[in-house]
Amino acid sequence: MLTDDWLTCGNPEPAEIYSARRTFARAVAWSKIEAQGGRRRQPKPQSCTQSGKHRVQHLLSRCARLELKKTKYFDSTRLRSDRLGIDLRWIDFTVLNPQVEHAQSDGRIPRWASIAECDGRWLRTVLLEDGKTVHNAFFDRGFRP
Amino acid sequence: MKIRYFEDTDMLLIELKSGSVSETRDLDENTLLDLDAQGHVLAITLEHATARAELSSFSFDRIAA
Repeated sequence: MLTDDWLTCGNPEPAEIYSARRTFARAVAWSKIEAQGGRRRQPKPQSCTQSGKHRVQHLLSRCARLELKKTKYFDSTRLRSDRLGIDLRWIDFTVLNPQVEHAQSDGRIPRWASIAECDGRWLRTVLLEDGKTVHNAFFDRGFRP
Repeated sequence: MKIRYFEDTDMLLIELKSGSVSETRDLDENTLLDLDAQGHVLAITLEHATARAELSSFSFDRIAA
């Protein structure tokens, strides 16, 4: 059961999200290889891509209901043209499934994730020291993993 | 031009002029620049503003030509 508790820094990612994310990532990677003419060694499992994708989407929908806290700065910039198009589910996804995370000297936590729906652009979210409150979120054009 | 200070996060937002923000860049770890499509700075965000700016003595002077 996904609750706010496991968002606390240091808690391990739930196995179900980790497993579903890996399944989906593998399926996406194989799709790209096959699109370039590569072949699998074994036949592709029929339900691999769809089941993995559906599981991730299902888990993301549950994540969206967690409603991470937001700062007033975040709310105030939310209606800006460059921020309005950022789906809150993408922010949840980046917070919960970061591909890159740094530690800032002030304790705030920037996390980056590539958003497939936006051509793989990198979304940066910044969490406050509590690890639960979203302070900033924007597409980071200059980010290189 | 608009200046806003967010007490909950000690953040200062200086909006130089209105416009469509195209990109947000880091000047340093605690300073963000919002740029338009031509690269002009539209807004500056300063984190930990009380340590970096004398907010209590803010003033604006317009010197006549």
